Amino acid sequence: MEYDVVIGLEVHAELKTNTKCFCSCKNESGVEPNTNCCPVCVGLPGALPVLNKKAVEQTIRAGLALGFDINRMAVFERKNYFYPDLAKAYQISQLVKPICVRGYLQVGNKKLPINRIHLEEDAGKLVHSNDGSTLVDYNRGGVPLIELVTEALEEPHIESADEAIAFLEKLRQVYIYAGVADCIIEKGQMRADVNVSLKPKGSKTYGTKVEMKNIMGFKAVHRAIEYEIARQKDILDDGGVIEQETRKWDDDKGISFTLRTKENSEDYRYFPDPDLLAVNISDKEIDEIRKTMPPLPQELKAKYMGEYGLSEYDADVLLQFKNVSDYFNACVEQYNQPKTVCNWITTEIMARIKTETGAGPILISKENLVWLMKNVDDKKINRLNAKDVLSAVWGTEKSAENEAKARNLIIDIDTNALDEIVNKVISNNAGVIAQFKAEQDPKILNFLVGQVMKETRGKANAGDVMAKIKELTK
Amino acid sequence: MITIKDINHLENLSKLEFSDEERQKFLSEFENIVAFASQITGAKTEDKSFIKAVDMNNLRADEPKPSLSQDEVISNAPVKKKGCFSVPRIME
Amino acid sequence: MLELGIKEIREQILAKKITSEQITAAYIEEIKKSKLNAVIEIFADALDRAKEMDKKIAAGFTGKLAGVPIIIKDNILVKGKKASAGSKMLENYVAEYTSTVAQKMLDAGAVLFARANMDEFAMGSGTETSYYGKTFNPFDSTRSPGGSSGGSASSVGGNLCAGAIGTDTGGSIRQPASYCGAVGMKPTYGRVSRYGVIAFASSLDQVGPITKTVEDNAILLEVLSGEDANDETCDKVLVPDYTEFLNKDIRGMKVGVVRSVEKMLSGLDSEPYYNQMKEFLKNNGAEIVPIEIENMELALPVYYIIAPAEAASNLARYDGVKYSYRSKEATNLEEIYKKSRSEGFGKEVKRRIMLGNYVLSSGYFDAYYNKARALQAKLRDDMLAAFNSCDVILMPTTKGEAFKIGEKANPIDAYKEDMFTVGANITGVPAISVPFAMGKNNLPVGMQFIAPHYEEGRLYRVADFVEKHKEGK
Repeated sequence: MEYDVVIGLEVHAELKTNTKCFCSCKNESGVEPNTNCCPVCVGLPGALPVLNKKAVEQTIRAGLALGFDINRMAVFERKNYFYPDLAKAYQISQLVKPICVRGYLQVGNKKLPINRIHLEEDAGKLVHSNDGSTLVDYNRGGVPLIELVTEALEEPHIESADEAIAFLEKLRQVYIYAGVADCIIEKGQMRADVNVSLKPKGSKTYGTKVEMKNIMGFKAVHRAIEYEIARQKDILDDGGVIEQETRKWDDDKGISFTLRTKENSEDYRYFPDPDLLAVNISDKEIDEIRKTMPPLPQELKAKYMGEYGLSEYDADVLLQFKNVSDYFNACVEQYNQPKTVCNWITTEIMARIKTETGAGPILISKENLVWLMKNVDDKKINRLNAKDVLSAVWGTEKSAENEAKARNLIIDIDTNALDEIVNKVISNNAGVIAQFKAEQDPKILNFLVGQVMKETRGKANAGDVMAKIKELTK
Repeated sequence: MITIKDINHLENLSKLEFSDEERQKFLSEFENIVAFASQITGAKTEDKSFIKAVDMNNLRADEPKPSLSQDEVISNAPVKKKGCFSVPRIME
Repeated sequence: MLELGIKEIREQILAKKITSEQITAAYIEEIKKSKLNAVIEIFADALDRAKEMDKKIAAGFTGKLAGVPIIIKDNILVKGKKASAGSKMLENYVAEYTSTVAQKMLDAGAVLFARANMDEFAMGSGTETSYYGKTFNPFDSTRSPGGSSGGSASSVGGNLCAGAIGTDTGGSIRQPASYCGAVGMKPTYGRVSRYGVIAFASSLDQVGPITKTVEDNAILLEVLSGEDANDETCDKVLVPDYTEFLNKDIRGMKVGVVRSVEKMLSGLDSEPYYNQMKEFLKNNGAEIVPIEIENMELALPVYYIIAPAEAASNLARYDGVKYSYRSKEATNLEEIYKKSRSEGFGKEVKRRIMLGNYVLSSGYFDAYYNKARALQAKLRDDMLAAFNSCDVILMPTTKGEAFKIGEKANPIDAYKEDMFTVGANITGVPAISVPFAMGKNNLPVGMQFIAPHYEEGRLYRVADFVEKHKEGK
């Protein structure tokens, strides 16, 4: 039987802030366990949460970037459950009045509706050790987290694993460009829960959904969705019934298994957190955030293709990583030749920074790259030599100009001197010249140009040399 | 009507456990207490609750302040290891 | 000397008639002799602190509590000192930080020298649920001092300190103050910071003073009050000099009396004293204004829904993982949770956690928790409206004199102890209990005044007048 697949996503992203959501401890990872902790984030007796303004701003910014309506009053609730990574045995979250309601994300030709984005606090970290204990570190506890929930029960919705991944990639890009989150997947800064249901093709009634929690990494999300679709298909084809449940994806084994069924689903006993006030959000504050919104990928893409005349492919390459497009924008600001800048970045720079999982830092200043591009365009340095200079200054404090000068690569040979060298090469290669005159073979011409360039130690412009040789061998 | 099953459920939510005898005794007490609380169910009210709000502008500025030391954080831990709180290994 | 209060002790210390060390040592001696079991622990460094204060005072320090020995309830944190909230759960808990209220008192020069017994996690009305034993009433050792701040009130009534700090969630300052012949103030919700005060029900808890005189109470409240960057619910409202409201008459003051409260009072032991108070007020030029606050009798069940709901969540953190009691029997996580909590919490606390989770759980949430919140909003509106026609409201604090220990074994009977006090907590307004009469058993009976939000000054004015002009003065 043919089925329609309906996929919903719940995406968590850690916000970029200096401090945690409800206390003034640093929001930073990679430090000694339990050192970014205070009475509030360890849930000590008598400690009280105090909401971070920046966390609210960042949530609003995320919402505005995705076309959300912003609630003028937001309320925080407690989600109660016991687990060692949850210091207070409740998570401060939002249920009834989240900060952002109703947005969308354009993925391909689909405008996918999103139900909400709410602000909550992250849990601590558990390390399962070999000596039979689980260790609890609350450094991450209380870090601000936004949870986005897609609207799966409306058209259009996500219908395949590929689409789910495209959604996640696009969402990640928006968050990064809006400056709300770094979304480093390996650090768990962006995590997705997935729910999948199937219905007979064309049916208006939705099927029973199965949820999968805490899948690490987009590839695993893809695999988990494909697995779940196949699993449900098998059951339905055999005339079976899908149980509403939460499953856990085991990426190593490539299977999922039941974590909780509907009968023993958690009762979180949400209620408004009496330690926190509701937050009034005014039009003025929303406008402020809107005004300071950095350019988003879709806007930049339109600019690159329209104003700069770049191809869609090039625009996408530049926009894939924010540090790359930031660098591109900065270079264009100094050297208004977008196509040239694009060429250099998409070839020379990308080759140096692209890694398996993303892009590393760009280790050449925009001043250096601009100097190289300009001087190549002005025929002051040979392109190949410019690339060597780029290599030499990459990852150093050196200036490209000084390096080019030190290597004596600046094209400063005058016409007379060049004529002299060309004449010398011609007279030293009489046989070859004769052959060239007869065959007009471009390979021979290139050989001759090469000879001249060698004599000038690359300080002549190859185009000029070629023209000169042609002229003298007519 | 509150049943033993309800009490069991509440024990789970509360992470408490009663002996059978305690549970039986608790049940009868609890019925009285719930009946006492139920006095309010008939009262006329509007669908609203009082909630105090703060303007976003007056929220805490995003500036770090010193945290506790690791020693202080885990000073009262019943079991601690490697700067962490420790519990018996959780089976996932 | 032990009978002296905050103001007099400070004056005598500043006048070099006594030292802080002497008076602190005298109280410590008295506590050691006392059979009230009002105090869980005398802090080891109490005399060192007193000596330090004597030095500072010699150097010119004149803080509002300079050298004054004060007892704090066992749910108020002072860094490096134990705070157990009367529970086995926190028997060995040493605070990692200092509460805002303790810091304010320390800054004012107080010697916080002991922690007072209390009902476990402030859940109780008789200081009978403490893991550290029952506390006794200083006027009659067969009777309860009230609760939950029974240790604090008994210490004040029994002259074991100059003054004490309590917390009041449903009457836990006022009721024991009434039973122990002390002045007890539950400030406006938001007047005093809760940071570092072990929570019972966050939306209702307030710290307040229990003192020998109204003036002492005013002095201590001024020290405790004021905004706190660590507590969102603590308001930015100017703190007045509360002593400026003292020594005034009550001529023309409109005192509201609530019809439904008078109905609840009918036949109770405190009824005649309440009527006497009305006469007294009238005779001194106040105007008695009958008012009504609809559903006032439902404030108690509303309280016994909202408070347990918040408590169930607030007390979930005592899970045997981070700082609370861990059962020796537990071998896995689930057992750590269930055994530690079952062994660490007493009966009443468990009862309220269960009740709280019941009213929050799916299927019951709207009928109980949301309904209670809606009623709370209405009571609040009605309370505020009532103040359009009066300046303060008069109510009894308690049903009568202190009850016999063990008499309130039935939970509902114990809960009814709060019938006149919870209204102020549910609506957030300030309320004071001031000693008024000696009852038929020759035990103190207090009367309660209630004012609009942040009008503690009015309460001090009327309570001070009562204290100075009541019969027998």
